[in-house]
Amino acid sequence: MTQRDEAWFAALAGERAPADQPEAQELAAIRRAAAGLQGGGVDELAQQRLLARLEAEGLLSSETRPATEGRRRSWRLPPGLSSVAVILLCVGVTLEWAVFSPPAEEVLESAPRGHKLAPALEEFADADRAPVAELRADRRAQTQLPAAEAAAAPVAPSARPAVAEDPPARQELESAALGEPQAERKEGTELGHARVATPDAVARLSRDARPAGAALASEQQATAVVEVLVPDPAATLAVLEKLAQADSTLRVQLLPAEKTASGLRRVTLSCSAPSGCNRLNRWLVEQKLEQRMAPGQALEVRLGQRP
Amino acid sequence: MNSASPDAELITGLVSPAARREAASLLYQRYASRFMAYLRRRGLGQADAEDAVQEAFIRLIRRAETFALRDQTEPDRACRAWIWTVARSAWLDWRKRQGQAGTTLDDVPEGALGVVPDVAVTSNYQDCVHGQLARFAQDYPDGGEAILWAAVDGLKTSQIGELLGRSAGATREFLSQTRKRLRQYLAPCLES
Repeated sequence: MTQRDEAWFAALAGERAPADQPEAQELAAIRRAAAGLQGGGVDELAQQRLLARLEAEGLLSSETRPATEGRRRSWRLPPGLSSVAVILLCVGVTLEWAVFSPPAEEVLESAPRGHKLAPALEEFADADRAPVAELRADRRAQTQLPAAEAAAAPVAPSARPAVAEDPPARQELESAALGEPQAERKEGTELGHARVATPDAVARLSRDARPAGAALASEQQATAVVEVLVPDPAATLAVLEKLAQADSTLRVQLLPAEKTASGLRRVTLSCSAPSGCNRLNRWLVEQKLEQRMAPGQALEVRLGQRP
Repeated sequence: MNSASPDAELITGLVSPAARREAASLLYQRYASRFMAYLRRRGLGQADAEDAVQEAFIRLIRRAETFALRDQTEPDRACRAWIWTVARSAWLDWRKRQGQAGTTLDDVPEGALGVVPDVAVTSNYQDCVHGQLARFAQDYPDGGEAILWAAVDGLKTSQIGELLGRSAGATREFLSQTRKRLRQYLAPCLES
């Protein structure tokens, strides 16, 4: 509709004044004609029929409420309020997504890690199917431990304390678990080049010192281990404890045997909610580590001093 | 409450059990013949139109409370728009019952389009406009109704659009075409 047409209809509706005298005459004539087209007089009989029907349906009795009679009550919100509710819902979902989803770069970083872990997980699945004795022999061969050393392992629920008592063996095991040559390990690593043990390797490490009756299923729940070399492990530990204090869903546990032969401090990081996991993930990113935390997961961090 | 009471007061009266009968009677006297003409222009026969008018008034009474509770800036104009909305819903339901939901007014046979006073083009300007407007409303029922809603009820273009079931843009285009056609119908009156 052009502006002139719009103005004409507004003038016909009495919303604004006519543009000029001829238009005023035209509008007045149309109004009078329109009033004449409204039909004839009232049909008294039809009106009586309506009132009788209203009476019959109880719509004219004082006890009834016409608005609720004969129809369901509507639970719709007022239009304005429902719009606000929808907007708030959208904002809430967006904020939830923004707070609890990792940044894009973290997602990209975590992708290769997933590929690395895949073969290990396949191995775990195979372990369920392979005979236990055969599997143990295979594992021993892989870790290159002398059979006598493996047989001499104490009967204990966990292999770690026993290995910790034998520093050279532990060092060798750790080295095997971290998947790098002994010589390279002795040279030490720079900050930011943390060595990472896959769950498979750690499981292997504890499995070789395990009693024959231990269940292999528990191996699948092995905690991932990561070694970090920092200038001041105590200061880093303080940072982690501060994170734990700031978020109750985040847990930093200093393990009892934290002092290893190599001077590493061992702490277990875990989180029970996305907020705590996000804090830990940010710390892991700062340390240039590929590991990422999820609720219910635990990560053992071995803090060593950078030479 | 009397025959001069504004529509908003009558609608409020429908909500009150004590005033309901009187308010219903006054509204009927004010709108029944208009509803009838509206429905007849839309192809309803006399008997069907009477039934539809009755149905429309029953709906008005049943829904009055929900309307009266709304916050209206222009209560009287909003009232009239709402009353016509109820009348239109009665017409749409009638069409549904008749299985004509998919048809438009253009499909309605010309002979079925209500009773229109046969006013010839005369030398009297007002009579001429009356007759030509009646013809226009017969030929273009929606356009004629839009003119009546604006001229008699003072409805805004947005309210007319809602009553016609058109979007804002479609309403603008429709009203522009309506005025253009009406001009053609009224041209003989100006010449005479």
